[in-house]
Amino acid sequence: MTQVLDFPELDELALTDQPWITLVWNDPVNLMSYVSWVFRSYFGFDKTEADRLMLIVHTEGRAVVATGSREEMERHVEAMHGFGLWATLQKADA
Amino acid sequence: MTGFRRAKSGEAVATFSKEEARMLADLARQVADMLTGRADAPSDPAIERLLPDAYRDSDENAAEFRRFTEAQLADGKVRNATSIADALSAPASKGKVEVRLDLPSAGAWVRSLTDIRLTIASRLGIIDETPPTLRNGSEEMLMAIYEWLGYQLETLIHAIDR
Repeated sequence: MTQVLDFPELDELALTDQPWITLVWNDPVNLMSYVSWVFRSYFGFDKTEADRLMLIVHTEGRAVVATGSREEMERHVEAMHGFGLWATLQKADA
Repeated sequence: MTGFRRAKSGEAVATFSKEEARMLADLARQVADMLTGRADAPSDPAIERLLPDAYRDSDENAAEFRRFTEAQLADGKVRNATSIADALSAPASKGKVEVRLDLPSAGAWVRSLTDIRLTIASRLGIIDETPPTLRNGSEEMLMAIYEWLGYQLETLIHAIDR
């Protein structure tokens, strides 16, 4: 049970691994119902959260849909492109 | 106009006229061919929309990402489009083609219907929420098809939504 003490560096890694975000951008083609469905089926968001993010995309032109390591965000972006959504990744502070 | 509905089996079911089935299969094949031959049309805006840059702030990162992911992404899109064309190639019965989709097949369909819509939108110059200026009869026809595809997609999502 004292094992936790053996891995202090993991916390540091996790922190420095977090500065990337996945953005989904508005486009005039994708249906609102489809975007919401993609957010639910891929990210596992509930309907309220998926609809909230979809409406941010629609009204503000883009929304942050995920935060995490660069590798994770690249996987998300590739998946979004598979769904035909326009997504990019960047550093969170960029 | 009819769309997809959810059958008791849980499948999404639609019945297309022979003409609708032929048209949709043809569009799916065109998108598959476009993606397969993408090396010959490197600056086609439709291809750029289907396989967009993953990084906006770095051409170098975008190119690197593309090098590692584009082939797989494009292959997946070609497979999805082919699955639409294949499902619609069943012989018509009384002038109708019935399509029954389980969840994985429906996943391929919604993705590829989206790819076809994105491609048509690119050809028609749909860049914002205002209706595009249609210059001739074939663009008017394409616009009608685009709206029909939107209806099919909407009803398909509704049919598979849990």
